[in-house]
Order: sequence, then C-alpha cells, then structure tokens
Amino acid sequence: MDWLHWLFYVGVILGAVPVMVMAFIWLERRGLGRLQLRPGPNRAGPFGILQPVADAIKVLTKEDIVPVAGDHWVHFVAPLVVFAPAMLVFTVIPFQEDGGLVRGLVPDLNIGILYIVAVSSISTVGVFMAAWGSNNKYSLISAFRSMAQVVSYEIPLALAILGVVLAAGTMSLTGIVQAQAVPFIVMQPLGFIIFFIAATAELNRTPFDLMEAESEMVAGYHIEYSGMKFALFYLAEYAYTVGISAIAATLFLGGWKAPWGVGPQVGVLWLVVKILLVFMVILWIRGTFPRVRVDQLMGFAWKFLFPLSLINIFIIAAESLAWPGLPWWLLFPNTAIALVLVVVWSGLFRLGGGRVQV
Amino acid sequence: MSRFDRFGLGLAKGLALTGKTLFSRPNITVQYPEQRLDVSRRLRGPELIWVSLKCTGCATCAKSCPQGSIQLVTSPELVDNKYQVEEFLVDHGRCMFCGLCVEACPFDALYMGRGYERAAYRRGDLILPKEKLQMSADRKPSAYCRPEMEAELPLQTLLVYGQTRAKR
Amino acid sequence: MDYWAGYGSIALFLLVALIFGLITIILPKALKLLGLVVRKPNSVKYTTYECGMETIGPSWVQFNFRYYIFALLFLVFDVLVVFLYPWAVSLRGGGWAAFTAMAVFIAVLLTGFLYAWKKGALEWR
Repeated sequence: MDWLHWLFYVGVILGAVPVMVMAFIWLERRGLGRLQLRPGPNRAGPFGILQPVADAIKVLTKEDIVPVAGDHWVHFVAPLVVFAPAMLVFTVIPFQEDGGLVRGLVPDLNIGILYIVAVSSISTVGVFMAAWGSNNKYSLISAFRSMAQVVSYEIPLALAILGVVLAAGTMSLTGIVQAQAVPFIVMQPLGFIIFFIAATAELNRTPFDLMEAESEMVAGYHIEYSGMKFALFYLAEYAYTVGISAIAATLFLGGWKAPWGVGPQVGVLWLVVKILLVFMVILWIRGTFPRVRVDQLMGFAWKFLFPLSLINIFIIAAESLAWPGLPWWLLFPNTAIALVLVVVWSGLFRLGGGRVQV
Repeated sequence: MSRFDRFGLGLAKGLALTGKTLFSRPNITVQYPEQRLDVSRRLRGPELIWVSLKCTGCATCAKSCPQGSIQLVTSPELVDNKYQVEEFLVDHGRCMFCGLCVEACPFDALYMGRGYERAAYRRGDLILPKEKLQMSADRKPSAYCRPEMEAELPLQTLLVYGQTRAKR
Repeated sequence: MDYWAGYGSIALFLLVALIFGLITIILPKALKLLGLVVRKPNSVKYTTYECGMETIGPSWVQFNFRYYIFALLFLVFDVLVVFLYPWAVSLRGGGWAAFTAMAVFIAVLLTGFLYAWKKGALEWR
C-alpha cells in the first residue's frame, strides 16, 4: 500500500466531498427556487453563495438535544452509521485514466460496483437506528417506510447495474469506463432509466421522499436530531446524492472520458461536469413532481421497474453473446425496445383515484 | 393526444414547464424590506388614526367599540362647541380592527391606518396615547369608510405572473 | 491491484471517516466549553417531539406484517442478484449454455414472483 497515495486521497475525499456538498446545497436551493418562481437564498453574500457557510455556523452553535425517552447510545451512533458509508462510496470512483496524476483511492477494485451496491445500503441501518433511538413515532414510521422503499428499489437498481456489468464484462469501475466507447446511456437507455429512477428512490429524494414527507411526518427519521448530529445526516444525504451522481456518471455517462474525445483531457474536470449534469436532472425532477403514495411507490418498484430490469438484462445478455463487441449501431434497436417497453408497460397501469393495479 | 397521457406524457409536460421557468425569470417574490407592495386602498390596517381638530369628544367611538379598547376622557367645559379631549387611549393589542369606531364617528375624526408594521416587544407599547395617534408621515389613513379619500391613494399592486403591477 | 492493498485502503478510510464523523459530533461539545454553544436544560425541551398530541403507547413496536412480505421477496431476489453478478462477468466465457441456464433459473424464481403478484402480495393494503 502506498501511504502517500492513500493519505492524499483521504485528504481529497474528506475535503472535496463536504465542499461539493455545500456547493450542491447552494445549487439546489437556488435552482429549486428558480424552478418554482422564487429567487432562493439571496441574502448571505452575492447570490446567497455564503448561505451554506451560514447554515454550517448556525448548526455548529446549536444546542444538542437528546430526548430523555430515547436510547442515547443508538441516538449517538446513528449519524456515524449513516455518514461513514456515504463517504465510502467515493473510494472506488475513478477520477482519471491509468497513468494520470490523480486516479482515485482504489479506482480498480475488482468488484467495485458490487462493493458500491453493498456499501450504499448500510446507511438504511443507520436510518433505522436513528428512528429507534429517538423513540418517536414519526421517526419510526419514517424508518419503516424507508426500509420498505430501499428494500424494494435495491433490486431494480442492482439489476440495472447488471446490464452495465454484462456489457463491460467486468465489475471494476475503471474497466467499465474503459469499455464505454459509446456511453452506456445511449447503448442501454432502458437500463439508465431504471437505474436513475431506482437511484432517486434509494436517495429518498422527491418524488420518492416518503420517509421525510414534511406534510405527513414533519421531518422523518431525523426529527429528534439537532445541531451537529443533524448536520451529519444532512451531509450524508447530500454526499449520497453526489455519490450516486458520480456512479451514474461513471456507469452510464463515460466517467472521466471527454465526450467524443474532444476538449481538455482532464478526467476530474469531466467527471465533475457529469456529476453536476446528473445532479441537475435530479434537482429538476425534485422541482417538478409531487410525492407518490406508498402503494404507488411499492407497486412501481415491483410491477414496473423489476420486470423491465429483468427484460433489460436478458436483452443485453443476448446482444453481448450475439455480437461480443457490442457494435455502436445496437443503440437504435435498444432505444426502440426501451421506448416500446416503457409505453406498453405503463399502459398496463390504470389511472384514476384508485390504487395502482395491473 | 389524451390517449398518451397515461404513458408518461404528463411527466414530460411538467418537466417542460419547470424547465421553462428555470431559464425565464418570472420571479414573484417581493424582496420585503427593500420592496414593498402598495396595500389595498381600503385596508383596515392595524392602527387607528385620530384627527384632533375634527374630534368633538363625543365618545361615540368608545361606545361602539366591542372590545372596549378605547378610553376617552374629556373636560366638561365646551370650547368652540367641542369637549376638550384630555385623554384618548387606544389599546391596539386588544383591538380587532373591525372598524366600527371609524364607521360610528359622526365627524370623520377617526380613520383606519394603512400601516402594517406595528409590532412591538411589550404589550404596553401597543397602548397609544393621543399624541401618538395623530396622523403623521408614517401613519397614513386609509379610505376605509371614507370613500371620498380614495382617489388620492395609490392603487394596490398585485402580484400577477412575475410583475408587480397596479390593477384597478 | 493487490488484494490487501485495495481493501486495506478502504478499511483504513472507513476508520478515518468514522473519526471524522465523531469529531464533527464532539466539536460542539468542545465549543460549549468556550461558551459558544448554549445548554439550557428544560424538562419540556427533552421530551419526545409531538404535534400537539402526546404520544399514546410505546414507540418501540413491531413492524406491520405487510413489510415482511416485501422483505421476503427482497431476500429471494437479492440472492438472485448475488448469483447474477458473477454470471454477468463470465457470460462471454460461458456462451449460450450459461445464458439458458440462468434463464431457466430466473424462470423458476419468476413463477414464484408471478404467483405472489397474482395473489395480491404486491398490493399495499
């Protein structure tokens, strides 16, 4: 193990992620404001750019309140259990081509993507610990919902990633990026749609934010948290959003590669641009759609995403056996199949005031 | 087209709408301390304005007040066919701004105000004596129950799709 | 990359991340000594949060049974996913035989899934 390399990346990840999170919080609040015909924060600094700093200072000097009825130790440990896996996601993201100056902490872990799927579901345990430790019914309902949601969307997410693994023939993220002569978003549009929706649900962001549905259960699982512990939850939530955006960029948008090979060959730059792009789409969706109901949520995962993701992997598997090189013209049949499947499958669902049934 | 509404077209429509607002700037938020909207000309703002020259000290306002929040003390001798008002106290903390005193005043000596920033830190600060009830630069009367004043007052600004515009 | 170097880096990073989180939590406690963070204990402040109505009954309750159905389904298909990943990596080596084998395996599981769907286990009631 190269200690200098390790030390450098620990510094980079622990420094860059909070900074990026603060930038994204600002971006989200401004962008969400513009989407909803309002200016967003605009008092602290020019364009409100110091707003996250002001929030950080505020949250740092807040009184720490622990409910007496709760379980103090579980309450204390929960933010750590949510936060640490969020940071662990970034360890395997490759920043640049081999031989470049900056590559990432462990960019070519041989089971990189499986590791990410495994690590990113740990934080649900933290969420449940937070709810259980708070001894609050709002928290607990939120945690129940969160468990059901994460459990349901985990499978479409993993199956959508499987399509990428099939096409690339490797689980290492570096290998996956190198396999993308044409980005997989064009080659596997169905896989990307499923991945994106399932990832949005895994992140618990609108329209799938049932666990912190403000109008129903106040703040969800972190209702009893204040001060720095709350900040850690918030940081973890946004770090996950950045992480999932980074994974989406790596798996489907060609990671560090410059599009069509043009432009400066600085991998980190392109990665950040792509992360930003994915994040903007998540933000756009958040600013547009209303929250789904619980039955719609579960029905959508099991009746829409799951069958389609199974069909997706079989299509990709058959294609990669028939044409092992996966030539670029496969994107036309794949796009057509994706469109037809989405339209036909969504036609199965009944609209109206009742339950979603097939 | 309605056939395709169930195939995700509604989602696309919603995204298009929010995407459009992202790049146009129809900002309907009023930046409050810097920008203010003109209120309705007949606003019953949370203050009473008393014109001492017109007042005869008849105490009709005090009698009409359902809350009993007006206290009026006059001296018995008449000067210029008016009682001299010695004390005129209005408890704005108890007042519910129904405007009955303004309607009851036979000499148009009371007005509802147009101000709306009348919060105070102490309840006692809300009880105003007659010196503070006078009309002044930041205590302007509204045209509530005084329709003859209406023409001089600025029109109300309404927030309609991005622009603050006056509308009759 | 060397096996232990890769996972060792991650394990050490986990340790650093945990310490980072711990420091973030403990930082306000240190600032309290400087008088920057207030602490004004109050018996009402430390009660459980509610919205106007006091909580009835214990909060530490069991899951509703309908969660178990989804948990069971999840278990079945998550194990399937675990089998699918190595299959996906080595599919090109296995050829159509591997494809057919996995198709049969998934068909068996899907039968159960369709049965659950038909019985209405996927409805949230």
